[in-house]
Amino acid sequence: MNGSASQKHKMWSFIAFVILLSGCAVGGVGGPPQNAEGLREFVRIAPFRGVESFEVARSFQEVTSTLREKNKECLAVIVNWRCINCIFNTKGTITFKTTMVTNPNRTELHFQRKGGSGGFEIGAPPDGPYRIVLDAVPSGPNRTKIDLYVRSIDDNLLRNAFRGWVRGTNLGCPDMTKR
Amino acid sequence: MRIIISVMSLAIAISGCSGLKTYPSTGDHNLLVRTKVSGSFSTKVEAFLHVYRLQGPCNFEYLGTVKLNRDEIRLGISPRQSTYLKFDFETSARFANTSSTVPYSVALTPQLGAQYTADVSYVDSVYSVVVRKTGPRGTAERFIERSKLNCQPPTDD
Repeated sequence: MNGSASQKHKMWSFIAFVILLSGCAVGGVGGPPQNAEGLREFVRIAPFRGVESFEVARSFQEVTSTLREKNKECLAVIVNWRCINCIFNTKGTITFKTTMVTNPNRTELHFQRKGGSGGFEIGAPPDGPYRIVLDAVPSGPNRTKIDLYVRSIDDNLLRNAFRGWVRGTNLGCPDMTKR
Repeated sequence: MRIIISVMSLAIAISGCSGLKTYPSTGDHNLLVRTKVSGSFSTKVEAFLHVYRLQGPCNFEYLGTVKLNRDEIRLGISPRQSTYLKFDFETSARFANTSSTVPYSVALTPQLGAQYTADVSYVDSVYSVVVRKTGPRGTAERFIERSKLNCQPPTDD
């Protein structure tokens, strides 16, 4: 009887351990963020990340206009990749989805990535995990406050591009085949 | 002599296999391409311009390719003819067998006597292509947007 109870205890411990591990594999306990607010919350409480907040000396309208233009120019792309000399000749597609929410007092740009390294996660939304959310609000004449929520260090190229766009200093497009 | 013939045959075969032909620049040199491309210790970057004649919304006739390996290159594109310019940034890892291509395309119909400038750059994994119609003194008159055709010219893939 005691042996059976001990076995059950071990089994439940093992199940709990597996659940804990799978929780880690899907982006932490609770799974990957399901929407922009989920990513904001994820970044706020993450131990090694934080919200990046700064002000730029450009009007809110200018910042919004640049984001709209660059979103259309740079982010509406599809990446086809192929590994030629791998053990298996593999290929795939990486797609990106952006959502722009604008009103007179706030602009949001949400970015999702599906496919490729880090682009598949159990429990992620159908269009891929949320990687970056940028919020812009006016903070005075010719000044705009930016809050940048970035999921991981893998998204630094895009983070730098977003910074350049809102500042108006670097208007190039990030090479979406790179991380 | 036999070696020279063999080498030439091989070179011809290789160039033929790549499917690329040099763009035969025609008429006025009405397009100035200014290129700034820099790779890194681990990545090699090259830029190319593929020129197509657009005969319909999705009907591309490949005219040729220019390797953008100089700071400035002048070439002629036929006026009054719908043209599709496809700038390709090809990046390849120096110590691994991976490569990728980032395309940036614009469609334009050059006006007779007009001049065009393309500023092309790829630095630190950030690329930029700005194509403008320029005035007589080199001042920008009109910015030509990135083309979002629902079809793409055929590739070697």
